[in-house]
Amino acid sequence: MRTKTILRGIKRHTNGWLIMSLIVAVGILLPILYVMSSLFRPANDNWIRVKQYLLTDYVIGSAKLVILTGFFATLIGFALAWLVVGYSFPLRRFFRWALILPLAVPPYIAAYTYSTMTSYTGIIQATLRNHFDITVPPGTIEVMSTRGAIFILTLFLFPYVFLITRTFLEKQSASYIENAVLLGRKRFSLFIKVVLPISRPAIIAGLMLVVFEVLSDYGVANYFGVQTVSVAIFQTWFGMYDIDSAMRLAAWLMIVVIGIFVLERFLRRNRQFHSTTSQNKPSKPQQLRGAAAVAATSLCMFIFILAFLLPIAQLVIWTTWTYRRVWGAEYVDLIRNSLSVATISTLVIVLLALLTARAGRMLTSTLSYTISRLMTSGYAIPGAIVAIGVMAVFINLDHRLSHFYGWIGKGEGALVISMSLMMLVTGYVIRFMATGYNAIEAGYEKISRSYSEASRTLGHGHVGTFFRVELPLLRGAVFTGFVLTFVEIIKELPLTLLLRPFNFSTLATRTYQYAIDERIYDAALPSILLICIGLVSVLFIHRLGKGDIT
Amino acid sequence: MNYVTVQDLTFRYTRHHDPIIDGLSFTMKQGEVVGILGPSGSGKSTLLRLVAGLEIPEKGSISIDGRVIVDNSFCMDAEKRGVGMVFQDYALFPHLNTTDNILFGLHRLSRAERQRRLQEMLELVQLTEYAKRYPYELSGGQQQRVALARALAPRPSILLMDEPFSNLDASLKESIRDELRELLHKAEMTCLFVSHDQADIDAICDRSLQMDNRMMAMSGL
Repeated sequence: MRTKTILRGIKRHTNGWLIMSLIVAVGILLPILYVMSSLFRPANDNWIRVKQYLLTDYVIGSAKLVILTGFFATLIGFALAWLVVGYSFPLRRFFRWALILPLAVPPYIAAYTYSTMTSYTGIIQATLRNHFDITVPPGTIEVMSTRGAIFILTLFLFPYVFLITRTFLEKQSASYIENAVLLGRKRFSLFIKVVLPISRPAIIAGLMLVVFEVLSDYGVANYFGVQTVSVAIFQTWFGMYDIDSAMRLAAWLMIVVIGIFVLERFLRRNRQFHSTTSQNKPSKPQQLRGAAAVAATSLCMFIFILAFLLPIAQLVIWTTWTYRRVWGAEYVDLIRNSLSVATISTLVIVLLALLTARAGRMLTSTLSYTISRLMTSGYAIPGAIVAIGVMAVFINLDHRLSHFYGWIGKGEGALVISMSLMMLVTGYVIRFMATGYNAIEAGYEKISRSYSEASRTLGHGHVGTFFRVELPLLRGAVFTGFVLTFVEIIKELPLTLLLRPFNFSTLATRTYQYAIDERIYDAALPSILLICIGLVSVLFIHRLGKGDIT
Repeated sequence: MNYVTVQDLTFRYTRHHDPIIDGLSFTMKQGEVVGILGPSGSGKSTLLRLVAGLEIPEKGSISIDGRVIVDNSFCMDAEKRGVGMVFQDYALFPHLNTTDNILFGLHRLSRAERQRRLQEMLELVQLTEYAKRYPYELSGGQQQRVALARALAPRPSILLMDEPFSNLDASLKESIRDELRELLHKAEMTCLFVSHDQADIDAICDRSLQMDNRMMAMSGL
């Protein structure tokens, strides 16, 4: 009897949705597990050398970058968020959204822009020299260093902290702050005793995004010559053609990422405040006057100029110098490559996300939580790790298919799928599944379950219910997921560099190639194009926050 | 002859918790309207969900009109049970108007039949003028009637109603109670009706079941 009942349960829960989403989850996890498994294989001589002479430097380089960028980005992001939420000063409403604009600028573009602007012939030194007769001693403004990398990454990643904490403070804090004021708290002690502690989960969430971005960064660190683990993965792969050692490095980096995840859980333990108030109105900001108001506006303006206006203005100027020469038929190809590969990948992501989010809704909470965690783990995993894993799995597949290739006349040992666009698309799907999945899952959460249940009692099965009820109600969420994922893919650099087929360039890789070749002015045009695409996503996120899009 | 037989029905949401419904048995005759009374958390709505096939019982069986819909080794999918349900929040599809909401469950009928049944239903609940309105353009009472028409349209073997009055004004409630009683009798519907309000049950039902936390008793006739 008991077995029969268990069988009944299994039969009821085992359906196409579950099986498909398990396959997707395994597919996403496979390359990452493959990378981890390299730790258990015997090491080659090269790895022993890397470990002995270089590993410490890589780890110190990454740690310095992560810790200092994390610290400064949190400091700037949270301070500015509290400033625009808690106080009223000239241009406050403008800065409320303008300070998220730097997110549209890929840090590697900012890196070469700043390094050129601050060089001997760059606008800053040249102006000082020609108009003010000041000659800056060499090395005074030097961004080509760890310091410079921290400066760039901080300026262009702090908006993550700003955006998350600002939204949190606006939505959650009003009644707490008003109460604290009523209880006689002064502004500063209010900040220390109330605002800071209640914001901790939001601050940590923002900080984590910054940390994962920094760990994933290749463009900035490599351009500035900072030795980090991500850079080292590229060098051992492209410099030494040693994929085993590259995989080992990736595996160690993966362990660090898992460690950070655990640390995040630990930092947030018992701190997931469930607010007991549903009041959503923002608190009334305190009016700043005189010097204080000028100081607040100046601070925001200073950061906005550094992190957005200045590099954009410079890029626009460079573009006007070069666009006639640079623009050509090649650009049509570049744009087409970027758009087509991003469209295909985004479509795959949206389809898989719909499938698994639907399956998750039908399952017990623990199982669906596990699946959704697996699906979204890619966002925390640096692009280089995903790339190595995907590459290794595809090469392995090619070896296994070798006989088949021989049989269809391609020649044994041919690399077919690992030379195709499929590899790049797979990499994108794994890395950016989280963006699409989270948007669609959030959409699903807003649809009352009783709609689906009503549809089933009216005689429609899971598939019918999905197409006739859920999909029409999910339109907005699917659109949001599509746009956000699409833009992320267009901007992605390291993954594209590693996984693109031979002779396949996108806007991002071409921009970076120009920069590496010191053709900085030529890089301005594709950079501006990329930033414009990025702006679409940033403005979309901003509208999302206002609740215009559901 | 019993039309609905529920035998030794037991259900719990998680293994670590006590069963919310424990060894429940009762029967219903065809055309009978039975009320289920009890405080919140006593498993009233869960009982409806078990009958509808939205939850699976741990043990026990349910059969309707001589057909077993769930027992220890078999569980019929919700969409195959032919059970009508009016949800507490009505669950009217927001992207469909009154007509399309009512037509939703009639996909197995021919086009002509579908239209005929739609007209019948609109007349039954007196909403012919509101056929093209969307749910958000209807009042609470009208929404409730659309939900009822939608559930009755495919001629279900049993109608399940989960606190259908909880979203209505007290003043509206009284007139709607009488309306509903008349409607159910006109349609000769077998109906399980959940409420926490004795007055609702007295006004509409032929008899009632009292559910307490983990305890089951029958009262009424």
